[in-house]
Amino acid sequence: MLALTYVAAAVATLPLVLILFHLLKQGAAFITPAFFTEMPKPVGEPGGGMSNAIVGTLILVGVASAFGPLSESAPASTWQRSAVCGSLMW
Amino acid sequence: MTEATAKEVGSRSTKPAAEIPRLDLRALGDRAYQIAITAFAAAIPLLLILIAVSILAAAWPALTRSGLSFLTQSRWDVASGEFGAAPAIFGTVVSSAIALVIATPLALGASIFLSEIAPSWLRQPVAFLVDLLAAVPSVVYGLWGIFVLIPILRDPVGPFIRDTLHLGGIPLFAGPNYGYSMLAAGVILAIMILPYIAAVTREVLRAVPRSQREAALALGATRWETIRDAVIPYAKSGIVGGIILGLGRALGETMAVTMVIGNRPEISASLFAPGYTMASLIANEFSEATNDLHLSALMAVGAVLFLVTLIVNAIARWLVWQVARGPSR
Repeated sequence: MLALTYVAAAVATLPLVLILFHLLKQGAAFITPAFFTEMPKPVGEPGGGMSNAIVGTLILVGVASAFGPLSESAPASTWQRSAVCGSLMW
Repeated sequence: MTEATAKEVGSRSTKPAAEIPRLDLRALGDRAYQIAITAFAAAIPLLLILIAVSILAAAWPALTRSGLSFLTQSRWDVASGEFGAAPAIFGTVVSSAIALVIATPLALGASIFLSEIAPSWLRQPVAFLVDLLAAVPSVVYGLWGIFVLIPILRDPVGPFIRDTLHLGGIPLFAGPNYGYSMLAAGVILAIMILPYIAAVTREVLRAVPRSQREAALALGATRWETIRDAVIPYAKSGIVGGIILGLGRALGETMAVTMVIGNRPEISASLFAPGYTMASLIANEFSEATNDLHLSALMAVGAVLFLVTLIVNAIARWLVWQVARGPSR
């Protein structure tokens, strides 16, 4: 039975390794500076990047993490208050 | 509080007028802060109630039109206005059940290994890797499911179960094997909920007092007997809580399941048959729902999903309470 727990631990970590391996194998070649800085090109044209999606994700996460801590009873720090003001002005 | 300070507090109002505005302002600030904090805290349950009410209100036309057949009928025909959500409800429950069946033993085994058996240098890294599974976005799980898991289920796994194990005859493995299936959804969900169950179980096992283990070992129990008879019974309620937490995640999971389940509104006994879940039904059709009844029917599916999740959580609370009450049973 103890040996089974070894197997379970190994199997539990396996999916992460497999997923990372697949992502890197298929995607690593496309991670270039242009991927972060350029807008997507029309379908069929090579090149371009994902800057719109990356910025969109950052804005979303920024707004969410500014509002999240407000519902906790911890005192709002200057950082949080300025983050909320910043996100409201967007 | 000493008498002197009490006196001082009491005499504050009689102090020179110049100091009063400053003190009042401070009290005002405290008060405003308290009100703001209370409002934010109250906003969370209020939000939940508001969501429930607005979903029910939007779902009302479809629910009154279909009645109970909304839960029991399998026909989902937008054109004729017939909405039976039974396949989606079935799919949600079955895919989550498959996920639990696969994930629970793995998570339990992994956390027993991590908290009881593993050498200390191995604990941190392996625990970190398992926890990291929770950080993978669900759409990435979906992509991996389409490009890696489904081809595997289609080729080595399907023929292995049918031809090598000769299980093709039983309904559970009958029918064509497209890869996009209830099984694929269950496996993806299992991987997604594994880190939650494992993390909770690990912490609960770690919280079991040393004396519990030492007593069992002193009685002559082997390492496995110690874990089985002294550690796990002590941690039972926490483990059940962790499993239910995983189940809650599995019921509501949308993106990854939608990508691999095949999205066919049918009830089939076969694990290889495509299915549908409530979450993926809403995700797939919401953007195309143009007439009011269709929209309302999707809202009704949302309400049922909400209800199922609530019921599962209620059962979970009850289970945890039951298990916690009688550790000797």
